Amino acid sequence: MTPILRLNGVSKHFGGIRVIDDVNLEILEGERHALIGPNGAGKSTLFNLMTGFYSPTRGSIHFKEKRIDGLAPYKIIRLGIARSFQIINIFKGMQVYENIRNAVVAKHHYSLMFDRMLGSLNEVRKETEYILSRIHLKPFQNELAGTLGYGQQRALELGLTIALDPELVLLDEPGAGLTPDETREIVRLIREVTAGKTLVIVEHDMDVVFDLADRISVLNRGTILATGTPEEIKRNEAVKEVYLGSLFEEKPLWQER
Amino acid sequence: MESQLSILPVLFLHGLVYGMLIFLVASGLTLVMSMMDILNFAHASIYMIGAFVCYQIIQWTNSFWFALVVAPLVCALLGVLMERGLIRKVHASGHVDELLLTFGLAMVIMEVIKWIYGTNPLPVPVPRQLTRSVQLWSGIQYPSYRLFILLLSLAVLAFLFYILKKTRLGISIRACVQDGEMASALGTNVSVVFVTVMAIGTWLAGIAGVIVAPYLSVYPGMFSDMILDCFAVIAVGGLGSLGGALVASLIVGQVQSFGVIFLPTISIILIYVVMVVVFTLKPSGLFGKKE
Amino acid sequence: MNRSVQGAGILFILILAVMCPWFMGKFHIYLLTEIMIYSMLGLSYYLLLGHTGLLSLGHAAYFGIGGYTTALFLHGMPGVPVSLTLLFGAISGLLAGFLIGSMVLRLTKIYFSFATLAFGQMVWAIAWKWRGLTGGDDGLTGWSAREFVFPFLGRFSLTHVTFLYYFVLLITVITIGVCWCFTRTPLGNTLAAVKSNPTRTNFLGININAAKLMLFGFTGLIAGLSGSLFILFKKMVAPNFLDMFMSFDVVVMSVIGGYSSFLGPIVGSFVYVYMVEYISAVTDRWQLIMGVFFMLLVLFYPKGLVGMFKDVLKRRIFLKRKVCS
Repeated sequence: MTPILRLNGVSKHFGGIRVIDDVNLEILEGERHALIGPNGAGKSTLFNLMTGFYSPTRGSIHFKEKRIDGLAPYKIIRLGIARSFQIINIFKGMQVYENIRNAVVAKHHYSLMFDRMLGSLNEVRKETEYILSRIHLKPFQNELAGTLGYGQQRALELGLTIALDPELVLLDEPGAGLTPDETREIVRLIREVTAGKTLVIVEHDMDVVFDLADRISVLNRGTILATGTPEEIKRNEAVKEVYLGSLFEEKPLWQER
Repeated sequence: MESQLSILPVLFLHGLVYGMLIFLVASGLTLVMSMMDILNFAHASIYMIGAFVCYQIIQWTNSFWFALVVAPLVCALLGVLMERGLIRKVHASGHVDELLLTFGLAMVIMEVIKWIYGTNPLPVPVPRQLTRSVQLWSGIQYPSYRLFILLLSLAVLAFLFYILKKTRLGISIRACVQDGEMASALGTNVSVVFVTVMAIGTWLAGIAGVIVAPYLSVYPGMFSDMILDCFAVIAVGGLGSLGGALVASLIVGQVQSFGVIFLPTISIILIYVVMVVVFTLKPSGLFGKKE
Repeated sequence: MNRSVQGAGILFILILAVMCPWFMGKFHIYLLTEIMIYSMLGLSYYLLLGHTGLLSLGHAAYFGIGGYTTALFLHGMPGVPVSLTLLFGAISGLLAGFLIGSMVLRLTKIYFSFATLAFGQMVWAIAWKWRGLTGGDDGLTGWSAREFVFPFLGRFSLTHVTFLYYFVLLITVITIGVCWCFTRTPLGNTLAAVKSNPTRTNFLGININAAKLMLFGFTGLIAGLSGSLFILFKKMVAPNFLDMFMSFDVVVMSVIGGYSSFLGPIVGSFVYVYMVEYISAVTDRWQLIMGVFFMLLVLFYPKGLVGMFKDVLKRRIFLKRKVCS
């Protein structure tokens, strides 16, 4: 398997603070790679770097052998990377249908088209409906996205990312705040919709991580502590130290009620 | 050649004077803008009100010095009223409504002034003590009134600097400019700081209005002249940066001063050219923090 | 409100509009013509503010640029057909939109509004100072073109109030249609997405700057066209057609009607023109009164008349449902 994404010596400094410090990471094509680490380790920052929202202070990022650091986010997205957000970032004032449609239109590069009516684009309509049914939101398609329940908004967040049909999917805590049942649902959904794609997922829920991931990278204070299979990571001493005990003890906050 | 060259230092002084005037108004504006995240168009209106109040006080009492004390206080009061009465109400409705409101307020104030005083410029006499010219060096005469403006604004600047760097209030203000939420979490009464900054800012604008009155006379168009110079300052100097505002004000002052003499036909749009150049190179201003 | 009711309503208004000259005096026809031109201007502003969320405070610049361009052609090239001068006016608006737009599109909210104000003032300053070109504060007037030539339909006098009314009506209806379609194109949808969530729009791989630039060009075009019609109507052009107060008036009209609604500017210009007409008959201080009225609206009812109408409808539907259940 070849690396689809490579980070070489990537650092990101904000003022004097090194949020990301000399990260070397390879994401292999087709794998499911989890990114774990304590809060504030820099996981979301890495996503921001990968999608062009930040430029690395040092180092380079390559997607399919093409250098992408320094490119504008929209150009990087068009190359085939898509991300979801840790804090739900949907179009709250628009209908669920319109939310997904925005992504589908973008995927087809129709966003600047002004000589045809949106309603006349049949392939857009069909694709939007298809994606809505995959994320089980078809019954709610005419509701305003902001009125949906939290679990459904998470599904929509995932849907917006998938609708772009990216080769590399970056999911930032897609299960944050979900109940155990909802989490099971979304993991199943993630498995389904990312089949055949490369997935990088940031997660705190270790059950989800060990269930989904082929490989895991542990991030702490802006550096990668270790990368390896779940078994290797479980046995890694440095990782255990960071988590103050075995990884099986690490429970997401909501379970400690 | 001798007399032509001698115009340069005079122009430079003019630029300095005008730059300091702009800074008096722009400083309050940039602080309020960066702290409260709103653009108060009416801030430049307060400057204009200061000038007109000064005119009125002189009509009644014939004392420039009295006007210099009273008018800025009136302006500070108006600033506080504006903040409490109007801006708070509309803060929750979002940026667009806030901008609409302050823009509307500025228009209304201009109309009221036109109603009361008409559209012609009203002269304000230079105070008797400062009507002579002062010998500067090698035969250059400079009106002492303009020197007075310069000295007064420098004194005010020093006062401002002292407040910001040395007093607790100043620290609170700087904290709020940097990060209002954090400052609030650390116990600063943000609301009180807001009102104080508003009061100080409008007080400064009032002072500027009073001292500019004998210099440029008093007319309703003062608002648009000043708001655009202020904007040029904020564009060049960045939001929230007093140091940036100072440097930018001095630059703008010089551009206006030299531009009027050396490039008279395009002097009126010269300042826009400067802004355009800065915008295209660095949209957050030369000193401003990135969004 | 369902489709057929909407359609019937539009048809009704159209028929009413066509029949107006029969039962209204010249004075009202004149006002209505002015209202329609302002509606076009207001609609171009809606696309910026209501649809995409961009608060421009210098919109009168495009109105004036269109007007001045048309006036310059009428003045300087007497043989040119009027229709061509209108076209040039519209194109000048388009180009100005691209030019100014390219310089402001990256700016964030406050800076953007301020910058549009600044550019508006710059355009006004040029119009005011460049006497050689624009006639300074006297403006331009007195061109010799007196008629408009319609292929197949003949020649019409530009001083004929009724002809102007129908001509402007035709162009206004077409413009409203085009703008409505614009909001329903993929580009229009992209701009609505930008208003709703600019970050996410960016992360969908959409080039927001390109979309905004196209928007600026289009709204400049419509505003320029309305400006061109306006100077034909008024038979003159002057710097106050593009000063800060004119830009403010555009905003006032939008707020009266409701700045987030497509119909807002149309309703708003209607109310605005009549209000100004009646208030100015009583006092000289109509601008002050309109300014205060505007502030009250922003403070207490920014959704405007169209918003008020929609709220009333919603309440009636809600009550109906309650009664029926």
